[in-house]
Amino acid sequence: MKKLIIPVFIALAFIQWWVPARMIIRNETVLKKGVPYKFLTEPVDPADPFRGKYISLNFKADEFIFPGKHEFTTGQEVFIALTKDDSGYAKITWLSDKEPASGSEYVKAIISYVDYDNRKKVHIAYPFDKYYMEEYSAPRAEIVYRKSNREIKNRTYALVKILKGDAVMEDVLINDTSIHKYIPR
Amino acid sequence: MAPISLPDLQELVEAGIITPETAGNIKEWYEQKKEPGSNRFILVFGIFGSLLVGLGIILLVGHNWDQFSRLIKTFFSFLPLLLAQVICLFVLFRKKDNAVWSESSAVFLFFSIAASMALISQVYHVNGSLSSFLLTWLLLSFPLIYIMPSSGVSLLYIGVSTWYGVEIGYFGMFNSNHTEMPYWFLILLALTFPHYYLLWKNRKESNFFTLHNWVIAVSLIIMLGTFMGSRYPYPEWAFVGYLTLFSIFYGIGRSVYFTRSKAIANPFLLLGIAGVIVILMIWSFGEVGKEIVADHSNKTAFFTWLFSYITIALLIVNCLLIFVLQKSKALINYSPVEISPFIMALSILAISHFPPVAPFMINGWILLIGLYYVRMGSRENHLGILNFGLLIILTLAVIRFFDDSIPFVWRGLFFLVTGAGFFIANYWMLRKRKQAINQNHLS
Repeated sequence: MKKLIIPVFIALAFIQWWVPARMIIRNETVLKKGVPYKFLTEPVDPADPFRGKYISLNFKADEFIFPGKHEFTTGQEVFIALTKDDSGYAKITWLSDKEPASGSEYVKAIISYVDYDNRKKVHIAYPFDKYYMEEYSAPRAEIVYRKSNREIKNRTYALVKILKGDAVMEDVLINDTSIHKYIPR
Repeated sequence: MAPISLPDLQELVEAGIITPETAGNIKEWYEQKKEPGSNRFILVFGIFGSLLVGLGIILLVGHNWDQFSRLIKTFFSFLPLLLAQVICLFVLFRKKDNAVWSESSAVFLFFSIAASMALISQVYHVNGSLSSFLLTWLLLSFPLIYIMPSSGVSLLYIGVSTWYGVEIGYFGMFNSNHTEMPYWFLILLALTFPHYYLLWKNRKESNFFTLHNWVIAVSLIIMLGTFMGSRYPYPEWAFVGYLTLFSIFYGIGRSVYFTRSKAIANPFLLLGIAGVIVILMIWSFGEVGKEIVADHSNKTAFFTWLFSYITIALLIVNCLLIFVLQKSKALINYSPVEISPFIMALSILAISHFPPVAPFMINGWILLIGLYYVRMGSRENHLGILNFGLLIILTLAVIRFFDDSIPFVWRGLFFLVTGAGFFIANYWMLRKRKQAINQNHLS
C-alpha cells in the first residue's frame, strides 16, 4: 500500500497538469488554425470570484428564426453554422442539434431562451460572452464599450477564432482598433 | 474522563488494586492517546497559513495581468501548481507521518489547482459556468484527501462541494425556468465517506472528526432543499422532509456514539433539536397550514415529484433508526422529538378533511416535547435541561399570545399555568438538591 502511494500521487500530479494543459492546447490550436469571425455587438461591472473582472458582451447575431416550427428547448446544446455577411461580420446560416459535416464552419452554443410568442424563433448564448481584462482596465473598458455601442457609426465587434465547434475570443475591437488602445492609461 | 494522574496510579498499585504492569499499560495508553497541545497549534497555523497563501494566489490571479504576454501568464499559472506538487512529493517521501506537513502541503496544492485553472480560463476568455469550474477543481483534488492524507482538504472539499450544489440547485431556481438537481453533489460527498469513516473509527476524539460532523450536518441541511426544484407543488411535504432530516440528526446525536461527547462536539443533537422545534413552531400557526396546503385539484400527482420520494425515504430512515438503535440498545430512550415527523405527516393528512385538528395536534405535541425535557431535567437533576423544556413551553406561549383565533381567557390561563410552572419546577428541583445535600451531611 505504501509503495503504491508515490506512483498514485505522481499520476494525480500528471492529471492535475493535463487538465489545464489540455485547455491551453485546445485554445491555442483554435487561435492559430481557427477561422476569424467578427461578431457585431449590441449595447448592454461584473466579476467572477476566481477569474477576476470582465466585460460582458451582447451579440447581434444571437437569435435565429426557423422557416417553420421547431422542437428545441431552453438549455439545449446546439451547433450553429456560420457565414460572413457582405460587410464581413458573422451571420448564422443554420442551427441544428447534430454536428455538421466537415467543410462548413460551426460553433457549439446553448439555446438561452425559446420564444413562445414567436414559435419559430430561438435565442442563443455563445460560449464567449465574457472578455476578461485587468482589474482596473475592465470597468473603464466597459464604459468605452457602452459609449461606442451607442454611436451608430461605430462598429464594435468581438474577434473570435472558430475551429470545429470550438471558439476562442481573441480581442474586442472598435472600428478595427483593439479596445485596449481606447482605455485611458 | 480526565486522565489519571501518576500519583493516583502509584496509589492504586500500592493498594494492590492493579498490578504495576497494568499501571504501566494505563500510562502508556494515555500518552499514546494524547495529542500534544503545541503540535495541535502548529497544525492549525500550518493549515491556516496554506489556506491564506492559496487564497492570496487566487486573488493575484484575479487581477489579470494584462501587460504580460500569454506565454508568461501560462508559465505563472503552472508555477504554484508545480511548487505545491513538489512540496507534497517531498512530504510523501520524507515527512509521511508528520500531520503538520501533510495537512499544510495538501491544502496549498488544493488551492494551487484552482489558481492554475482560473488563470488559463482567464487568458482564453473561457466563460464556462462557475459550477463547471468548481466541479473540475473538486474532481482534480479529492484524491489528496487519501494520498496525503489530509482532513483539512476533506473539510474544504465538502465546503466547496456544497458551494457547487448551491450554484446548481438554488441559483438555477431563481435564474431561469429550468432547474437542475445537483446529483453530482451526492457523488462528490460520497467520495469523502471512506475518510469520514476512518476518522470515526480511529480518531473519534480528534477535532477533525468534530469539524467533519459540523460541516457534513450543515452541508446536508443546505443541500436538501436543492432537490425540491423550483416548482414543487407540495411545500407542506417539504416541511415534513426537513423535519425528518432534523429528527434523524437528533436520533444520531442521541445515540451512544455521540452522547459521551460535549454538546458543542455534537452538531447532530444541537442542529437536530433546533430544527425540529423551529419547524414545529412555524407549523403551530393554523394560518400557515391553511396558506401552504392549498387546493390540490389542479396540481400534478404527488408521486411524480422526486422530493415526495425523498420525504418518504427520510421518514422510513427515521423509523428504522428508532427501531435499530432501540433494539441494539444504542438509543438512550424514546423521545417525542423523533416521532414528530409522523405527527406532522398525520396533521397534514388530516388538514384537508378537518382543518382545525392540525394546529391542535402540533401545539399539543410541542407542549409534550417541552414537558418531556422538564421531566428529563428533573430526573437527571439537570437545571439546564429542565429550563430548556420550560423555554420551549414559554416560546409556544409567546407565539400564542398574538394568536387571535384563541379566546383571551384560554390564553390568559395558559400563561398563568406556564409562569407558575417555571417557579414551581425550579423551586422544587433546588429544594430536592438541598435535601440530597442535607441527607449526605447527616449520613
